[in-house]
Amino acid sequence: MTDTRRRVKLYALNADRQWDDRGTGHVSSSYVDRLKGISLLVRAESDGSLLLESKIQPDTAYQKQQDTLIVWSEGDNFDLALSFQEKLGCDEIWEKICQVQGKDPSVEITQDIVEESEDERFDDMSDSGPPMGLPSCELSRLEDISELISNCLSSPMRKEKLAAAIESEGYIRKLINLFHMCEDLESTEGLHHLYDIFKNIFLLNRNVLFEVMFSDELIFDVVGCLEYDPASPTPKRHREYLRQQATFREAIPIKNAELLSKIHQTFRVQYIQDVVLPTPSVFEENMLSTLSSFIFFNKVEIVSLVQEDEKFLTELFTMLTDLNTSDSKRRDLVLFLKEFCNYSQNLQPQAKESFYKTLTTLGILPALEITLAMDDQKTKTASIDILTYIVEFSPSVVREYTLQQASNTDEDQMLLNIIIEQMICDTDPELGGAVQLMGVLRILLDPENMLASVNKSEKTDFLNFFYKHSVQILIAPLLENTAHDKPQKEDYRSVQLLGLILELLSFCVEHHTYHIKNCILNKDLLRRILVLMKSTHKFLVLCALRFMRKLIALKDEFYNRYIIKGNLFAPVVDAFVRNNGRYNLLDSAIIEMFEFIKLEDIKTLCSHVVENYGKCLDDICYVQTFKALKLRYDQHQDKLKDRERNSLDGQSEMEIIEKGETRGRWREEEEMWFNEDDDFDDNDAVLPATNDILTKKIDTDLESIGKIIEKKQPEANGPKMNNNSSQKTTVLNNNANANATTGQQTGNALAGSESKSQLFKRGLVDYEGGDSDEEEEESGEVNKRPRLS
Amino acid sequence: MSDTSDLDRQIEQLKRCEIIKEGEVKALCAKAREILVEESNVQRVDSPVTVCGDIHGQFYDLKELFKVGGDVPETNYLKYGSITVWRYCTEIFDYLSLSAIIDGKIFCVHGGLSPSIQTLDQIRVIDRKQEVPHDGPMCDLLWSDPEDTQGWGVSPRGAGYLFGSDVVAQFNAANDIDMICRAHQLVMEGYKWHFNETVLTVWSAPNYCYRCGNVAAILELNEHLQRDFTIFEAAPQETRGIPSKKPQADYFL
Repeated sequence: MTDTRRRVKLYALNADRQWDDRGTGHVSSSYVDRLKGISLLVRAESDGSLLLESKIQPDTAYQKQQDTLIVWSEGDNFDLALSFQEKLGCDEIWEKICQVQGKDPSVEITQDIVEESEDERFDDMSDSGPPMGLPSCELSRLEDISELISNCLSSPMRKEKLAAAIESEGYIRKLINLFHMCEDLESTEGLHHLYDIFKNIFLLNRNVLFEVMFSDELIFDVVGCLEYDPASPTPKRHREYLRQQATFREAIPIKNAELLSKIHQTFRVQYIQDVVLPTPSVFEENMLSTLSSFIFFNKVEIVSLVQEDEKFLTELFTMLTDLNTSDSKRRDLVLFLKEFCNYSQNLQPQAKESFYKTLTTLGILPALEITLAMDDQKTKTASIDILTYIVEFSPSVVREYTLQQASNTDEDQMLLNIIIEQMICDTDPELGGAVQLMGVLRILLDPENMLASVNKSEKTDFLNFFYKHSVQILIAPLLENTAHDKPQKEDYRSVQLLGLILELLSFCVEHHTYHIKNCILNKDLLRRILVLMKSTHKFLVLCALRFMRKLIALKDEFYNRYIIKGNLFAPVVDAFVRNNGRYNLLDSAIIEMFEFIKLEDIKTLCSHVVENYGKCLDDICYVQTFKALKLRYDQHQDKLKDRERNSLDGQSEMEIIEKGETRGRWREEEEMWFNEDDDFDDNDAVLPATNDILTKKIDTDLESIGKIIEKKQPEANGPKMNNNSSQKTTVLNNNANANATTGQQTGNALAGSESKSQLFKRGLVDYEGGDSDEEEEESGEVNKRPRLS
Repeated sequence: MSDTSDLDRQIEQLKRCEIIKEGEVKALCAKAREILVEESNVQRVDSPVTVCGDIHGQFYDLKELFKVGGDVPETNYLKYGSITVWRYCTEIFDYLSLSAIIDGKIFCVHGGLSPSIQTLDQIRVIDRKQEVPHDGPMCDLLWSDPEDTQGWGVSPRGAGYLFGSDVVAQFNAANDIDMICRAHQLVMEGYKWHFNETVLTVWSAPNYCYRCGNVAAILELNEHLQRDFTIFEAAPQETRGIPSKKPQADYFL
C-alpha cells in the first residue's frame, strides 16, 4: 500500500532564490548511526534512492508553513523545504522535530534565528531573555506601535521576536479592529500609521503572519490598510478594484472548494505584491522573499490540483475543440489555458515535463490550430502565448506533431503552416503577434535544439518537412513584393513583416546549409531580396543587405558564383551610390561587406567587384577599403601572371597547390563538412572525408577541367575519376552541370579580360573556382567516397 | 502635426512616471530607429553640448539629470510590458551610434580605444547593427578602460583592453583631437581626469545601484569648448513616484 500521508516533495532554494524540485518520495524519521542522531530521511518513490538524510540538529530553526510545509536551513544559506501531500503527515514529522529539539509542537518555528554581524549579535544579546512585549493595541498607541515595528526591522533577532509576539497575541486581528475604527472615524493620522505598520509587517518576512493576513476573512482589510499611503494625497482604491473590477471567470466551473479559495487568494496576494506594495528597494526585495515563496507554492499547488482533476481538463478540451462552442466561451477557455501554462512556469523541470505531456495528450496542439486562426484578437494572442510556452519548453513535441501531419493533413491545415500564415496575416500595425510567432518559428528551425539522442532523424526530417511544405508560404510575401524592380508595398506593416521574414531567412542561411541553398537558388531569392535595397525604409534596406552579408560570410563558392553570375552586387552598389557618401548605418554596413571580402581574401568576389564596380568604388577615399581591395586584386593578378610564367617554365603544379593557403582553406572546409553532415545525410550526399592533399589537388584539377569541357556534357552523371590526376582528357565529371554555369559566370565576370580566360583554360588555377562537393549535392548524382574519420 | 503632439504628451506622461501604451512604445521605437539609422558611427556634434555618462536605467535619476542639465527632446520607456515590447526596445540599442566627435576635437565613446583602430575613419567600417561581439573594434570601443601604464593591457573585464597614456597621445595626435571623453567606470566624484587631462571619465548614475553612495556628473561644453562640470546626487526618495502597474482584471486561475 502506498502511504500518501508521508508523501513529500523535497525542495532546495537555489542561488537565484528559486525553489528547485529535488524529487518526490516518502519521508521518515529514524536514528542514523553515521550521523549519531535522529534524522529526516526522504526516499525517492521512483527508485527508492535516498533524496535526503538530514540530522535534526538541536539548534536548527525549523519552520512550519501553510499546514503542509516544513522549511529549514541546512548550514549556511542552504534552504530546504518538505512539501507534504497531507497535513497529517506534516504534523507527524513536525512533532518528531519538536520532540528532538524539546519544543512544544504548537510552535510554528522551533528556534530563534540568530545570524548577522557581531555587532548585532552583541546588540541582540541584551535583548535576549524575555519575549518582546507589545504596546496595548489602542488608537492612542498607534504611533508607538508603528515606531516599535520600524525599529525592529534592522535586527533579525528583534524581527523574530516581534513576529512571535504579533502572532501569539493575535495582534493582526487587533490591528484590523483599529483599522475599522480609524476608517469609521475618518482618522487620517491613524490610517497613515496603520499603513506604515502593515507595510513593515510585510518586511518581517514571516509566513505565519501571512497566513493570518491572507485569510479570506482579513485579506481585504489588510489591503485596506495599504490604501492609506501617507505619501499619497488621496487613498488608493485597491479594495474596490479587487471586489468590483477584478472578475474571476470560470471557463469551466471549479468544484473543489480548496482549489477555488487558493485561486482567489493567489490572485489577491499577487495583486498585493505587484500593485499594492510600493516598489521595493533593492534591500527590501530580499526581505519579501517569503511573500514570493507564498505565491510560488500556491501556484504549484493550484497547477497540481487542476491536473489531478482528470474530468476537468478533459471537459475543457472537448469544449475547446467543439464547433458548437461559442466564440466568447472559447476565448475564456483559451485564456484559462494561458494562465494555466503561465502558472506551470513555477514547476520544476520534471513536473513541467509531465505538465506539458498531459496537455499534449489532451490535444493542445490540434486545439491551437483552431484557436490561432480565430478572428478574436484576445483568443489569438493568448493562443500565441500558449504556443510560445510549449515551444520554449519542448520544441521537439511540436516538431514531432508536425511530422505526423506530413502524410495525413492538407498543407494549409498543418500546424507549422498555420503558424506562418498567422505571422503573415497579423493585422496589428506593430506586428506584435508576428514578432512572437517569428520567435516560435526560429526556435523550431534551430538545429541547436534538435536533440540527436531523442530522435536521430529529427533534424533531417523536420528540415525536409519545412522546406517541402512551408518555406514557400513564408517567402510568398517577399516574392510578391519584389516581382518588379521596386518594392510594391511600402506601408509600415508590410515592410515590418518583410523585415521579420528576412531575419528568419538569414537565420536559415546561417543554420541550414543545404536546404536553404537550394531554396535561394531555385527561387533566385537573393535577387528578389535585393529589390528591397530600393525600399524607402532604411531598416529594411539594411535587412536585405544583412541577408546577403550572411551568404558572403559563409565563403561558399557556390553562393559566390551565384552572386557573380546574377550580378547581385549591382543593387548594393546602386544603393551605395544613391546614399552618396553620407555617413550613416547603410554606408557603414555596405563598406563592412566589402571590408569582409578584402579581409577574408575572397578572390572570386574581389575580382568581380574590382572588375565590375571599380569605376565607382576606386575613388572612394574616406575609407581605405576599396583601395585595399584593388591592391589585393592587382597583387593577385601579378601572382597569376607569375604562375603562368612559372608553369611555362615547367614548374610542377603541385608546388602551387601545396601553398599553405590552399591547405588551410581545405581544412576549414573539411571542418565545415563534418559540422554539417546531418544536413546531407538525408540526401545521400556523401562527404569528402580526406585531407589528403592529393585528393584536393585532384579536385582542383577536375574543376579546371570542368571549366575546359564546360557545356559539353550538360547531363553528365558519370562517376568522378579521382584516382589519377593525369586523366584529364578522359574525365567524366559530374560537376559539369554546375560548372557549365560556373563557366558562363566566370566568362561574364571576366569579359574583356582575354589573358585571364587563357589562364583558366590552361587549368593551372588555384583561383578558387568552388568546392566541387557542394556541386555534387546540387547536381543530384553523387559519388560515394569513403570517410576516413 | 499630431505626431509631435503625441510625442510631447508621451514625454509629459513619462515625466509623471506614468506608463505609456504598449503600441506607443513600439511606435516610438520605430521612430527612434528611423532617426538612429541615419546617424554615423562617429556622430558629429557641434558645441555647445552636454555630455553624460552611464545612467544604468536609473529613471528617477535621469529625470534629475534633465533637471540639472536641462531638458532634452528625447523620450524613454519603462520596463514593464510584453515580450514583444522588450524586443522592440532592445533592438533599438543595436542602432545606437558608437561614438561622437564634438567640433572635431573631443572624441566621445563609452569605453575607450581599440588596438584595431588608429584613426576615426576606421570606425566607419563597422556595421554596428549587431549584438556587441566578444572581441574586435566594436567591443573595444564599448568596453576598454584607461590604465596608468604604457601600451595595451589585458582587461580584467574579459572584454576590451586597458590602454595607456602613450596610446592616447598617439591616437589624439593622429586624429587631431584634444581629448577623449568616456564613461563606463564608476567614479565616486562623478568625473575623473586621466593622463594629464587627455582622457576624461564621466559618470552619471548617482548612488549607483542605489547603494554605492557616489555622486554623478555631467560635462557641459560651451561654444568655445570650455568645460563646466555639474555634480548631482540621487533623486530624493519622495520624488520617486510609483508607476501604477496595471494588473489584468479578469483572472481564470
